[in-house]
Amino acid sequence: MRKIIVAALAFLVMASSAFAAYPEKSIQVVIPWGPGGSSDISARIVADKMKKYLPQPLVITNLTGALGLNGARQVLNARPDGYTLLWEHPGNLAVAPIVTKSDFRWNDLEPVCTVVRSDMVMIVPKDSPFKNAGDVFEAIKKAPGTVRWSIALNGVSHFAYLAMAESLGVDLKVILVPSPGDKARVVSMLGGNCDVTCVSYAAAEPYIKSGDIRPVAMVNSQRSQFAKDVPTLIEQGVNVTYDYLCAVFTTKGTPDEVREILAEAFQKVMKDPETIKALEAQSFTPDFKDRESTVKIWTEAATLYESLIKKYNLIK
Amino acid sequence: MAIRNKKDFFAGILLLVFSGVMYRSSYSISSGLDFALGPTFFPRILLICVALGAMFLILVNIGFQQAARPAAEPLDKKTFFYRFCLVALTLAYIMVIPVLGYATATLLFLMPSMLLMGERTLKNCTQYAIIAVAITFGLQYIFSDLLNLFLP
Amino acid sequence: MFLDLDGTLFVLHPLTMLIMLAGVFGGLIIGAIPGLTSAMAVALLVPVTYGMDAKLGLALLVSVYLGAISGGLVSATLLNIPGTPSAVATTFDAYPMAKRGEAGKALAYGVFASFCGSILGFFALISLAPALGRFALRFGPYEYFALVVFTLTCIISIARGALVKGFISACLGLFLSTVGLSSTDGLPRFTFGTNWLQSGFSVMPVLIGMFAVSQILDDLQSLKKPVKILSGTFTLGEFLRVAINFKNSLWNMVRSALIGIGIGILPGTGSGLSNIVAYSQAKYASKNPESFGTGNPNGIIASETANNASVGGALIPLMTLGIPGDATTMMMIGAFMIHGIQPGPLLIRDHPDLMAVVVVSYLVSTMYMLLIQMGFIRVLIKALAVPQAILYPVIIVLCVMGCYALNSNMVDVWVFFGMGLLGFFMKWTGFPLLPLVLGLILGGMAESEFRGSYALGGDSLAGYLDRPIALIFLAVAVLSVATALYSARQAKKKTVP
Repeated sequence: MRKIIVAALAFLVMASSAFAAYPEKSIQVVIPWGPGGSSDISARIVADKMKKYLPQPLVITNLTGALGLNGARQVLNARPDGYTLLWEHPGNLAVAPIVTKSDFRWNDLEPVCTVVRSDMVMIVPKDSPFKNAGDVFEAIKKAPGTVRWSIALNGVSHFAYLAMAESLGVDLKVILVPSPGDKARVVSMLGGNCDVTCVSYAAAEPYIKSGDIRPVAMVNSQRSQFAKDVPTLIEQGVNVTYDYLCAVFTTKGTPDEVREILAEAFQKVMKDPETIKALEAQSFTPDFKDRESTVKIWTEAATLYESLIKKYNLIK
Repeated sequence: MAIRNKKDFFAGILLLVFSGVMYRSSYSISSGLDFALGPTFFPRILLICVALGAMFLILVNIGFQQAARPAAEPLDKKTFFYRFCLVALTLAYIMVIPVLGYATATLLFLMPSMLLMGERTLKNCTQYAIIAVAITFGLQYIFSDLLNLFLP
Repeated sequence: MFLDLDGTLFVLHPLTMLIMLAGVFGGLIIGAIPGLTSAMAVALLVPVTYGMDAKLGLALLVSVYLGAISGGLVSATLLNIPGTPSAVATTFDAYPMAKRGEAGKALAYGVFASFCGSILGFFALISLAPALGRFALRFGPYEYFALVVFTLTCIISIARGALVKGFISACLGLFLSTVGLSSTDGLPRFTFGTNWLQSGFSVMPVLIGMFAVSQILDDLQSLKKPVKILSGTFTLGEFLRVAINFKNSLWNMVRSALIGIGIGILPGTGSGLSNIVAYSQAKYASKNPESFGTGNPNGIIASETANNASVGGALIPLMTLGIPGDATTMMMIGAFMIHGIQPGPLLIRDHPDLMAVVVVSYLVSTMYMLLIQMGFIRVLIKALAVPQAILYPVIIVLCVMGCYALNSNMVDVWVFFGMGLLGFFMKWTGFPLLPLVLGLILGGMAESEFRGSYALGGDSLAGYLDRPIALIFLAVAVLSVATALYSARQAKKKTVP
C-alpha cells in the first residue's frame, strides 16, 4: 500500500513539475520558409524579444520545401510536449495540404494563438494608367485577355485574384503570369513583365517608397497603418479581404497548461513596446488573438479557399 | 546482327523502359488547372527526349558486321570486392544513423571502413581508432555547437 | 560612386578586420567541405549577426560568402570533388594537374584567378552597379529560358563522351527536377504517393553523391598500392611564376570575369552557373580545346575567375535594388531585414555607409583570401598525403552529415547514396555526369520561365519574336550544338581509315 502511495506521489510530483517547469529547454520554432522571408523576419523578431518573458529561448529553424509542408509535417509528428512550434499563415497552410492531396489538414495541428499581421497590397507599375482598383477591373472587362496579372498558382495571390473575380461576379480574363514568391512578382513588375499583382506590403514597400511601384488598394479588412492613404478593396466596392495573419501552432495533444503558458508569453511579448517598434519597422503589426479567434479565422479562411478550389476546379 | 557496344545497348534499353514507366505514371498527376501547358507537359517532353536518345543509342549499336571490340577492362576481383564492401558499409551506416544516432553510427562506420581500406598493422589500427573518435566528436562539435545544426 | 567615409572607416577598424579574417577563413573551410555551400554558410550566420551591429554583420557575411566560393577550389583540385557548385568546372583541369604532381601549381592558378575575378567584380560593383542593376531587370521569362537553354548546350558540348549521351544526361537531370511539388502549380509529381519525395531532389546531395561517391569508388582501384594521391611541393617562387604567367591568359580572364559578373547580376543565377559557362567559352575560344580536361590551366582560370566575379555581380542587384543576385545573396537579405533595414532601390541613398561596408569588406576579403590561400597551399598539399584509408571514410562521413544538415532530413542522405551509385554506373557506361546535375539545377527555372513566357505570349510562343536578347541566346545555343556535332563528325572521320 505504501509503495502505491509513494509511487502516486512521485508521479504527481513529476507530472506537475513537468508542467510547472515548462519550458525547461529551448523551444524550436519551425519556419517553413527560407530565411529572410516575411514569416522568418517576424518570427525572429518575436523570438528575440521573447527572452524577457520565457526562461528558455526560442530557436528558429528553417525547414523549407513542399510548399511549407515539410515544416508543417515536422511539427505534426513531433512530440506533443510544446517544444516544437510552427509559424504559418492561413493563405498557405489552409490550402497547401488540400492541393497536394496530403494526409493532414491545418486542424491536425494545435493552434496556440495568432501573433502578427502583415498587409497585402495590390500594386501596379509606376507608369500604369490604373489609378485605383476600379480602373484595373474596368480595363480587364473592356479588353479581356490582355491585362497581365501575376500570381503564384494555388497561393495567396492566386486566391486573392479568384476572390476578386467571385465578388465582382465577373470572369476576369487576364493573362495569368505564374511567379512564385513575393519578390519574384515584384521583380517581374519592375521588369515590365506584368501589369498588376498582389504582394505583401513588406515586400513592396521599398519599391513603393522609391516610386517604382504604386499601390492601388489594400487587400486587408482595414487600412494599413503604414499606408494610410491607400484605400482598401472594400472601400472601393470589392468585397474581398485577405488578412495576412501569422499564427503559432504546435503538435496536437500538447497539454493545455503548456499551451496556456505559451499563449500568455506571446501575449505579453506582443504588448512590449520594443517588440512593437521592431515589428513596425518591418511593416508588421502586432496583433495577438487567442485560440478561439484563431480557430475561427482559420476555419473561415479554409472554407473560403475550399469553395474557391472547387468552383475553379483547381484540383481534380 | 551484332551488338557493338554492350554497355551502350543495355543502357539504351534501360533508359527506354525508364521513360516508358515514368510516362505512364505521369498520368496520375492531377492536372486540374491546365495552366500554361499544365504540370505534365514539361516532364513528358523530357521523357520523350530521353526515349529518343535511348533509341538512337540502341540503333547505333546494332550493326550487321562485327565491329572492332573495344578492349574489355579486366574486372579486378579485388577492386570489386573493395567497392562492394565500401558501398555496403555506407549503406549500413546510413540505415543505422536514425536508429543509433550520429555518434555511435559514425564510430561504427569509420573504424571498419578504415580497417578495410588500409594496412592492418597494429600501429595503423590505433591510429585509425584515435582518428575515428577525434573526427566523430570533432564534427559533432562543429556541426551542432558551432553551426547549430541538428544531428540525428 | 562616392564611398562613404563612415562605412569605410568602420571596415578598417581592427575588430572588423579581425572578424572578417575569421569570416574568410571559416568561409574557405566551409567551401572546401563538400556538402556545405556558401548559401548555407551565410544562412547559418544570419541569425548570429542578429546581435551584432548591422555593419559588422554585413562585413562578416560578405567575407564568408567570398571565402566559401573560393574554398571550393581546394577540394576540387585535391579530391576531384567540388566543394561547392561554383567549383565544378574547376575539377576538370585542376584535378588532372594535381594527379600529375602539380597540385601546388593548380592551386596557385586557382587562387590567383579567384583573386583577379574578385577584383574585377569589385570594379563592377563600384562603377557599373546602378545601371547594370536596372538592366538586369529587363530579363524576363523569355531571356531566362533562353539563357538556361544556352547553358545546357554549353555543358553538353563540353562534356566528355558522345553528344547523345550528354543530351540524355541533361534530359534526365531536367526530368529529375520535376519530381516533387511543382513550383509553378503546387501539385505533386512523380512522388508515388509518398511524402519523402515531395520536396524533390535537392541539388547538393545529388551533386556530392555523383561526384564524391563515384570518385571514391573510382580511386579504390589503386588501393592496395598505397599511393600518395598527390605529391609535389610548392614555393612562393612558383606562385609568383604562375602569377606572371597570367599575362598569357589575360583575355581568358577578362572574358570569364565578364561572364561571371553578368550571370551574377541576373537575379536567380550565380557562381554555380557562371563557372561552367566561362569554362565552356574558354574551351571554345582556345587554340587547343582538346587539352581542356587534361590539365590546361586556362580551364582553372576560367572557372575560378568567373565564380569569384559572380560574387561581385550578385551583390550588385542586392545593393542597388534589393533583389538577390543568387542564392547566397538571398540569404543576405535576411540579414538586412533582421537589422530593420529594407533592402531596395533606396538602400544606397538611405544607408550609404552600408554600401561602403559591403564594397570595402569585399575588397579586404579578397586580399585576405589571397594571403590565406597562399599561405596554406603548402599545408594543404601535405594534408592530402593522408592515406586514402583514412581520408575516404572521413569524406563519406562529412558528405553524409553535410547532406543531412541541409534540411535535417535523412531523405537527402539517401538521395546522396542513390545518386552516388547512379553516378558510378553512369561513369561506367560513359554517360557524362555534369549535364544531369546541371539539368537538375536549372530544371525548375527552365520550366517556370518557359511556361511563364508561354503564358505571357498569350498561350503561345509568339512572345519570343519580340525579344532580341532571348533570340540571340537561343541562336547561339543552336550554333554551339551544331558546331559540336560538326567537330565530332570531323574527329570521327579522322579515326576511321
